[in-house]
Amino acid sequence: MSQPLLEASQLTRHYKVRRGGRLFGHAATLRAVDGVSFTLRPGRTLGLVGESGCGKTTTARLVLGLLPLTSGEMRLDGETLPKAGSTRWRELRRTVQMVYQDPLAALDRRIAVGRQVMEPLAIHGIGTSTVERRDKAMAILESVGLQAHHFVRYPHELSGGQRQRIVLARALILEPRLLVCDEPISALDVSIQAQVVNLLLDLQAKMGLAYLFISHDLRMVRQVSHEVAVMYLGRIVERGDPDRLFSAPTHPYTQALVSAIPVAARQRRQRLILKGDPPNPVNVPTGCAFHERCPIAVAHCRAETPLLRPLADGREVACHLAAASVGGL
Amino acid sequence: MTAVSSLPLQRSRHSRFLEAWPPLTLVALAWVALMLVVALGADWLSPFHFSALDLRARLQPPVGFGGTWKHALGTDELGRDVLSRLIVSIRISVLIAFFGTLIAATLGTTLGFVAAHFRGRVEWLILMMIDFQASVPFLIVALAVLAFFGNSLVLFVALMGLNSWERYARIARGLTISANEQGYAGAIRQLGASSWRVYGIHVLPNIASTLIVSMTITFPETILLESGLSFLGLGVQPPLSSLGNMVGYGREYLTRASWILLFPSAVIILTTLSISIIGDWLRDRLDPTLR
Amino acid sequence: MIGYLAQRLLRALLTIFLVVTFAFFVLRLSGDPALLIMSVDAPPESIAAFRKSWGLDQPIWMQYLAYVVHALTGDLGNSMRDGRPAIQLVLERVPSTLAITLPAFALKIAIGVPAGIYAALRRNSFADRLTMLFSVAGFTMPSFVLALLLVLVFSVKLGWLPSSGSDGLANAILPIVTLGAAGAAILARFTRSAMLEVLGQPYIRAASAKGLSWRRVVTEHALPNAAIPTTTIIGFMVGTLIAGAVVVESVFAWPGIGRLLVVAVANRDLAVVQTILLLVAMTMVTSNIVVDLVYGWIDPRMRTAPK
Repeated sequence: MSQPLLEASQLTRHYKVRRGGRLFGHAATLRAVDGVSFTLRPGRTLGLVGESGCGKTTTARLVLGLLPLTSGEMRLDGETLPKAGSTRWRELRRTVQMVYQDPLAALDRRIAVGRQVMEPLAIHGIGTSTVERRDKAMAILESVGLQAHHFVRYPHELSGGQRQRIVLARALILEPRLLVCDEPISALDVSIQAQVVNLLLDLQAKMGLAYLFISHDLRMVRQVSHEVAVMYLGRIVERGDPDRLFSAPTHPYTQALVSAIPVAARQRRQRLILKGDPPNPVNVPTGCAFHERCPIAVAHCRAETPLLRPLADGREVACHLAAASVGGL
Repeated sequence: MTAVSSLPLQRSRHSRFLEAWPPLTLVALAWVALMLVVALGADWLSPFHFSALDLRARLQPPVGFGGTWKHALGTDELGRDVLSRLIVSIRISVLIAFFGTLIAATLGTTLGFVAAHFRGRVEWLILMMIDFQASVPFLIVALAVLAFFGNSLVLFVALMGLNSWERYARIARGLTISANEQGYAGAIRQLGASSWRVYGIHVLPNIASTLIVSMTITFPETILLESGLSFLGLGVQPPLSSLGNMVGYGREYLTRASWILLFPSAVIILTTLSISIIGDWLRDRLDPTLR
Repeated sequence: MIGYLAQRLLRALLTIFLVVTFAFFVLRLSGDPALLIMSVDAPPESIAAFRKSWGLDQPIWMQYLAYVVHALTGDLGNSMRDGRPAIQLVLERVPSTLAITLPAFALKIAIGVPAGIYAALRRNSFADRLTMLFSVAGFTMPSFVLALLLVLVFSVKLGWLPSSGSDGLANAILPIVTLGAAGAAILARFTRSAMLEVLGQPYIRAASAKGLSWRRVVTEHALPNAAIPTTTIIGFMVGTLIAGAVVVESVFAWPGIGRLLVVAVANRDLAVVQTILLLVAMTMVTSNIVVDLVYGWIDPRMRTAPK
């Protein structure tokens, strides 16, 4: 097995907040990400799913080094990720790149997209002449399925899918090995989503890219991922092979998520509707963070926080009752 | 046939031109251009030296009110040519307002960038300064500072530059934070770009139109502040002359020679009005989001 | 809410403290008041005596501490010109300033708000354009120019009103009109754009679409919502009352705080200038707090504590 490209161990990001007024409120801690660990090997895809506010995006930003860690460690090729903005961090941008949810916001509206695709080369001093950089940008545009005439266009003149291809091209021109995709398709039309996903899969096959693929679209995640991690309130609650995880979820939260996937055929399947909203990440319930909404919670769940434990089929789950409920509903 | 068919085309071209360049805006642009020409070419344009006395021709009325073409806008109590003084005053007032606005824009934008870049304590400090600036009317602060520090032109211009920096700082900070957090600036930084590249090549050109529109608001404000202080005798000092202190000194001759103050007053109003009109027009053209 | 208020008050106090500090240091650093105020040929011993009696021979931080301690007890020093307490000098001018600024303030609201609403409701009509023209003219015209034009017309040409002084009611009219006109212009423009903003909102279309008469749409939906930003700007205008009066009081020789400030500045009367700065800052800060509170009261969105 190849060396891990990315090792995240116990990533934690807490925010100090004040509750009830800035001056006389009491200090509290918002646990955006609370002890998340995973590894990612070259050419593989880790899917990260969960409700909005569960810490997916914060995790992505931690992986990129855009946010300082409260505790934990990020290693890239075995090297601890340096502080954002430092020279070494900037060099490492050649290894890790990002694709954004809203490509229009991620592009500079005043600069032709071709020049924006070329810009990373100038930033990192790659290539000696403008002509050389231009040729490279043209080649990359072609590989993401755009044509030469798109080079001189401005972001607002392109469609959503084309913009996302530009963002991809701009990231890929640095020949990164890891691409963090934060909801890369959720802002696109459904008809375009599949195209972009297929493009991502092609590029992975051709270039050996690793993806950290963040989405709340479980079906897309299942389609692209080699491994899936389900997050709830800043923690991973279940992780494993996507097919097994989605066909037979063990954690009650995963079960609820999976049961919410719309299905085309009229299958006889019970929909699990969760009670209430996810709790405020400032007041994470004691014990298992999910127990308040969990349909099968017992007293023990309130007392003790479950840790990720491996199951017999190789997946991991953080639930006291998971072993009993393997096999699903 | 050709004449008929080309008519609607011409009309539409004509109306499209008027839509892009409304007549009022054209007049305003022309006036501002004239002021710039006067400010830059004051030495060649003024018929007399601005402080040349002609004691035999004191308080002469302008042409059309019994005056002669020799002193087209009349003369003041010392027989100085009002037109020549007006031209020199325009130069001084325009220069002060121009540099004042430039200083405010540069200072404010820089501080806004600094606040947005560092966040935390630095941002808190700058926000505190913005609050402070907004909590005391600047005219009062300027009055105090000028009177106690005495009054050189350099200090005065610097003071005008401190007038509205907080407007730029607010704009630059707000737009930069949003560009950093979920926009292009964050994406560029993520590519490994230096701060210089992020702010200089990307953020600044993107917020430039908003800043320029703000300049059309602060430029008239600066002219009004300058003229107000000069009117009170605390701004530009004789022998130099600005529009405000022309009005201030002309005030004593309000009953006998109202032209001395009416011409500079008209120039102040027309200039501030023109820039406001241009500002509205620019805002519609450059930055529809600002409305 | 209590926490918010406390925080607001703390910031207000901090601002006032900064103003006091700023005033003290800027003014002291600008030069030796003894040399400024005594005549050039005063004997050195009388200059030294002057310094001693005003505490100017102490190190500046000692002077500052003494100043702050005294300020906290309400003693803002004595005028260096006539030796009377500065605060007394300033306070006795307050009624004069209020006598012109309060009626002017009423005038601003009485003209500016209705004009702005009317212009917005008749958008792009002749009346709208005329209102906006006056409004733009109103705030691109310096107040001293307006004041002098009014004097030229009503005092010099027509002889109806006195051009300066404070002997009677007639003297107050021109200053009030000058102050009121400029404020009304700003307010009209602001009210108009607030109103247009509200009228463009979906809930206004929804209200018309459900068959409400236009009059009721305006009075029940548009006006209350447009009132929120308009109240804010009116509140901020309260804070600038004194500053706005500086120029106008000077033109009309009206014996208010503004004129006192100009005279004190010309005389380099430190204590008086500092006291006026403090008074101005306190008015601004207080009115800002009141605006915030009123804002919370009239805007239901602010009532339920966010987050």
